[in-house]
Amino acid sequence: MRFTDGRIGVYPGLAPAATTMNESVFFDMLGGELSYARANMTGKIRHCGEGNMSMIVGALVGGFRQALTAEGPGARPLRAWGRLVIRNRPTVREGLS
Amino acid sequence: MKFSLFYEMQISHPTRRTEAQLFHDCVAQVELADALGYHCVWEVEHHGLYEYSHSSAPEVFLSFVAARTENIRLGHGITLTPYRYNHPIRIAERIATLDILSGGRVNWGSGKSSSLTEQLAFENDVSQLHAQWLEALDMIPRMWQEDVFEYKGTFFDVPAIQVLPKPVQQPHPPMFAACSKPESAVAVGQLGIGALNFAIGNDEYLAEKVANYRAAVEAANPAIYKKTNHFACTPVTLCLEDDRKACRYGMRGALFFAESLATYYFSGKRPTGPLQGITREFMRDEDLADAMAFRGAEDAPAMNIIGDPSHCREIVSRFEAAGVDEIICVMQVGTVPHELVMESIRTFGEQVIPHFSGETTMGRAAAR
Repeated sequence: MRFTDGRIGVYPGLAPAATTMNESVFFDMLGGELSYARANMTGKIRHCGEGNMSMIVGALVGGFRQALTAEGPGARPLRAWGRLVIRNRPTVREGLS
Repeated sequence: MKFSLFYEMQISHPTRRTEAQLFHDCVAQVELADALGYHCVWEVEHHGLYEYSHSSAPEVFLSFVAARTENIRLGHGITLTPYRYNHPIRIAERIATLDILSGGRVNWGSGKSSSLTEQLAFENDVSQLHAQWLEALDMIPRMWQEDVFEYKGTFFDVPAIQVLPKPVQQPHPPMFAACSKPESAVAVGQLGIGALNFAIGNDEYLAEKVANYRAAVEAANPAIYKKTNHFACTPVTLCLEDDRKACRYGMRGALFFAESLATYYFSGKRPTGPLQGITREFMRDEDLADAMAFRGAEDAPAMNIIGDPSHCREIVSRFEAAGVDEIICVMQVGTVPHELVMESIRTFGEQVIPHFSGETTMGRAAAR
């Protein structure tokens, strides 16, 4: 993934960093049951490469959580989408990176 | 390897009384660190970051500490240099005054600020902060060295003035800057000043970052100030005889530190009042066991120095192997009681620091 001017995209090539976690850890973070910092400290997230890139995972999760709590009628679709993602959390546990 | 203390002045759920007590506690902690031979106390400047940092007037705290200590150096980590926060002339005057009164014990770190809360509160033009920092960096060392200072830059047009007093350290106090990204560490190196690294990463990543900084700073040739070749890291630290107790309190504290930081720096929000969703309670036993086991993992980030003296020595040796010159221990965090901070300063000072006196591995290699 690459972040440019607030946009995210997926590109081929060598990544400066890789973050690995179990799928359930990822959805626990999205659901607010596990903080990024706690997952990082307990080894539920493993990271190699550029250290600051690991913070992006925390920022992504934070952004998602923010969408869930966005205020106003204009944010209704965003809130609905966020709830849908959590409700449809996969039951199959696979490695995710 | 040098060992220092870092102060955000953190406090969980403050009241007027506990906030005031925090400042007196921090003074007592620095007095103890001075007696034990710690190198420096580094104090941040932040504004309005409730619970995360109540240190808005570091120049006052450091002056008070200077009068109560003998040897410990007094570090601004860092002074916010965009002029809406501090005019460069006022910075030069304050640093020089502190340097005189402390007998030449000041380390001066500078930076531009990166929290939206304070950037907007001081009505900054965020797009200009970096340029303002660089201009202040160009001005302040001149003020310390030139009898009559005159300057025409992008933001300042200063007619001839004698900036007084002059610092006692010659030609001026050592200069540092905050950095976190690999490219910002190189940029700080290119400026020829010391790096205060606030980032995390595994050992290989940290060693590469230090090496890149070192190459940049060695090639730097600053014209108006003396070069400082120094790389410091700021891990959360708690060192107690009882390993499990250290982890229980230390890791809860490290989570408070990381999560409150993320709230102000990565959430895109400018919260007021008590922070939401921050860890204030102890970890569950199974999480604590996982976290304690993960400390020794090969790919665990060099992030926190938490545990008994033996574990702490092990983690410090990883920073040393990466070429780090100074560890600035973040012992005072929001949920760690003052009594444990005092115990940690003493235990770390007596049982960890003595094992790492002398130069770093890279320093020795460079000297050969």
